[in-house]
Amino acid sequence: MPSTRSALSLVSRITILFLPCLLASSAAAAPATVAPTPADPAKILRYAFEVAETSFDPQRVSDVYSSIVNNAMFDPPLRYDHLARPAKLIPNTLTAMPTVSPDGLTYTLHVHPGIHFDNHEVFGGKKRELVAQDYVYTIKRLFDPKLSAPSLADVEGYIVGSEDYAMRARKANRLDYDAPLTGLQVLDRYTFQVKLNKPKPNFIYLFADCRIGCAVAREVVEHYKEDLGSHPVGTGAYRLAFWKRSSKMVFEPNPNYREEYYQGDPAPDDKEGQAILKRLQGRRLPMVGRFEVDVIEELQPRWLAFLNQEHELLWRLPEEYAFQAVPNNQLAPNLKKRSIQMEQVPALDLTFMYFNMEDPLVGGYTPDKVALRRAVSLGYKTLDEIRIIRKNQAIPAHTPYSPGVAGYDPNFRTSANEYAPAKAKALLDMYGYIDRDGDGYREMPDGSPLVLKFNSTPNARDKQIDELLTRSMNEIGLRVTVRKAKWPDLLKESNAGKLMMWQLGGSASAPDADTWLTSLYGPNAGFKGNRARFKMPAYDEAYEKADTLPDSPERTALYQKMAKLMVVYAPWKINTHRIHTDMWYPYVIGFRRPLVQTQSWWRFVDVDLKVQQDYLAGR
Amino acid sequence: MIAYILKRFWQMIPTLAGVVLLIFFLFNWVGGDPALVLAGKISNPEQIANIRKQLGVDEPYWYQLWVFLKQIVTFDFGRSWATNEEVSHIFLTRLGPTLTIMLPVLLLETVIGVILAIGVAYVNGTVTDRMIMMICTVAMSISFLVYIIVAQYLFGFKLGWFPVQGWSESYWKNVTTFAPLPIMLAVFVGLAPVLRLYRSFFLDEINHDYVRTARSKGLAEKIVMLKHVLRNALIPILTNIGIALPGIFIGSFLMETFFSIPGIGREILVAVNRSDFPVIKAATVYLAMITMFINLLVDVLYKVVDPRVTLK
Repeated sequence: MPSTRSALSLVSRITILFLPCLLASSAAAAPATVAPTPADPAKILRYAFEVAETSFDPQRVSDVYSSIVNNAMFDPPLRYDHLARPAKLIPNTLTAMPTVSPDGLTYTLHVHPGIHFDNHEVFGGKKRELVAQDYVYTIKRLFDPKLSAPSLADVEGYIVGSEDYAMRARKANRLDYDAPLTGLQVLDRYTFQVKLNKPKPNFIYLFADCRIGCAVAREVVEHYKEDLGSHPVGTGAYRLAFWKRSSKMVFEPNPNYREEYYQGDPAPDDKEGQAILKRLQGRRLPMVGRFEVDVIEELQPRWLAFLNQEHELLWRLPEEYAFQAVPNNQLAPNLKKRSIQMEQVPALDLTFMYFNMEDPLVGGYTPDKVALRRAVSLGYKTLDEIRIIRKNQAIPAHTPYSPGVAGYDPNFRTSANEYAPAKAKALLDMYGYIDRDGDGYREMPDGSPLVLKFNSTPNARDKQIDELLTRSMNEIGLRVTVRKAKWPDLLKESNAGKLMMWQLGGSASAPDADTWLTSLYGPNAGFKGNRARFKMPAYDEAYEKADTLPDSPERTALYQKMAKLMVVYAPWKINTHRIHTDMWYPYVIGFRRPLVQTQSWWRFVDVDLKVQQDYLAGR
Repeated sequence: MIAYILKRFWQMIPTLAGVVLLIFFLFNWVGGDPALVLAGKISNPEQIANIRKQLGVDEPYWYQLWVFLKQIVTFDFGRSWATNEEVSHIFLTRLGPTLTIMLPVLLLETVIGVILAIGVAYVNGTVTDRMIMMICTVAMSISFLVYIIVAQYLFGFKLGWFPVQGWSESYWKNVTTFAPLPIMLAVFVGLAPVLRLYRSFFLDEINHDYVRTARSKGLAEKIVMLKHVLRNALIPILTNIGIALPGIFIGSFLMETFFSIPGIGREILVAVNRSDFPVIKAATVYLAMITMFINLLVDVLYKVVDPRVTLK
């Protein structure tokens, strides 16, 4: 049996022998320096935007296209699962989904350690970690009067103390970033809390909205001041490599991007999603080494650039080419022959016409006024709009919210898009809207002129809609006059309640029916989106109750009640949900249009170089 | 000459003042409210009021006009309301692509136009002359937009001779790859009216007595046309070039939009759609000043071309 001294000596020798191994293994367990992303620079994906970007300052922008690129360069706390349908929120920079207090008022968010901003001289040569304070600072920026953040309305009044905070900032014409905002607190280096004035489950979507939640570093903001929009420094998967404003943007992987691997949660019956997951699961992100985005406003060059393989992907096929590219919504044979891939997705989108409920002619809640609006709804040829104007790139809307959003039930239908001119005429006759002077057009029940004043912007699409509306109304004996004006003028007049009718459309910034239903909520009349100035206690009551509920059968029932009230009282004539058609070459792998348009999909796609080489050689 | 130039500079002031007042009036009474554009669809009165304050459009009109005048004097129009980019930077960076296209267009159009016009004028009255004039008339009746669409489709896509669209940071690449199609297209389209116009200038000269005299003296036709007729026809040709010159600094917004050329024309179109007043202001003042200076230059050049001209 060895002696104690020799045993110790043995232990020492063993320790010396195994110490390097122990050190090596402990180093592997500790957060190591992240190896740079393996995105292959030879993998290039080029495509075009139809509208120019405005700024790379995430809180300054409101347009979709700027938000798309900002979402690739910056990180909000949450994002939507790339493969999940319907849309599903998941953590982006957080360790887990936010913890919500039982009363629904407090959100606690834990930022994942080890996420870094892109390198910049302002960080003094060191890697700059993303911390909770960055998110608090970012949200505070929305209140800076000099920024005029378009998304301020989404948070002002909802976060505790935000109204006072905003008022003080406006009064001083500057924001004191170090002054506390009661409802926005940093608890520790990686944890922050947001407190609301009242429960609002849909508030959580804002944490996935880049315009509100994409973190910027205070040092960078203070360094660049007004030029921040030209110098993006984010934690996202990509960074700006080259920029010719309103012409071309080139992005390369962010060398400091965190270690992230491809994962997703497609539905079990989602074959396409499952196939993508099978192919890409576990791959380190991002995969594409370079994104080149051209700005091409005109339809033809955008379409031809794709056909000419100057672009690998066509983001949103122009409707004007739909009959050529996707006749009967099937890929054209010549494109199929070229192995071009296509996906059509009903957008989270709604087009509708509103009636000003305070207008003396079409507004009001009495049966005769309701009848007039219902008649207009019944007489409008929505299917013609879809077939002729939108080239079948839309589906009729049955609810004032689109498929694919929380609260949508595919089995729930309304008569919102019923086309029944005979019924329309009968309604009008019943309530005294008859042609008294024999000119073919009806008058008001009291004999005064009945002229529907429709407003629209001076573009080709709106002109077609004007003509369709006029033709439809002529068939039921209603006279329409069309007034043309620029968008800002119409918006101003709409906010002031001066427009009788106007056609609008819009996509959801969050996958929830509330996006549109809020625009019929009485207190939101005017600036806050209720342009119809619809004020109905039953609707408001249902809305207020639904606003406090999470996505649930109870809330869905309330949404359906609101939809029915909308159909009955007809403050809106809902028309279509638009379809987005995207196309790409077969060597682009894993593309899937995000349901929420502003979400970034860039890091989730790949380019198969072998397939690309073979494809180009075979052309 | 100096006195004349100084007098013309002095006369520019009321002209510029008229332009300034007109653009100011048009924007404030006819143009849309930029605060509404920037605020987005959903906002509140406080937010809109704040934006108006940040843009300076809540100030009294006289103050806004004063600021406008200061901007003209200092050549500092501030920043774009839509993108926050410095307006001077917008013009500096966009001028290059515009001139890359428009200078060759003007040059080629003039040279080719003069050569063809002199030839057509020489055969005035013949079948050739009538055929060419008919072709020009038909060509002028077709919208420029149609030419762009057809040429882009045919030469860019179908034949693949040029890229459909695009622009590069390399001047050489732009000149050899991206610019040729728009330049050729613009020259082709511009030739028809230029040819007709220059032909009429030459015909005016050909019918003068001095030409008959030169011919009767036995001078070769070549010398009559190229030395005497051409020289005298240069004055109206110069005038026409002078009228066209300011346009090359603005560019063709149709061409720039369709071929994705990041030029001034396209930028101005975007600014108008966005009610981006700083850019619109700068472009209008910039164009007015260029027009006035070029007109002055052309008038001075008359003297060089024809010493008989007196500048007063």
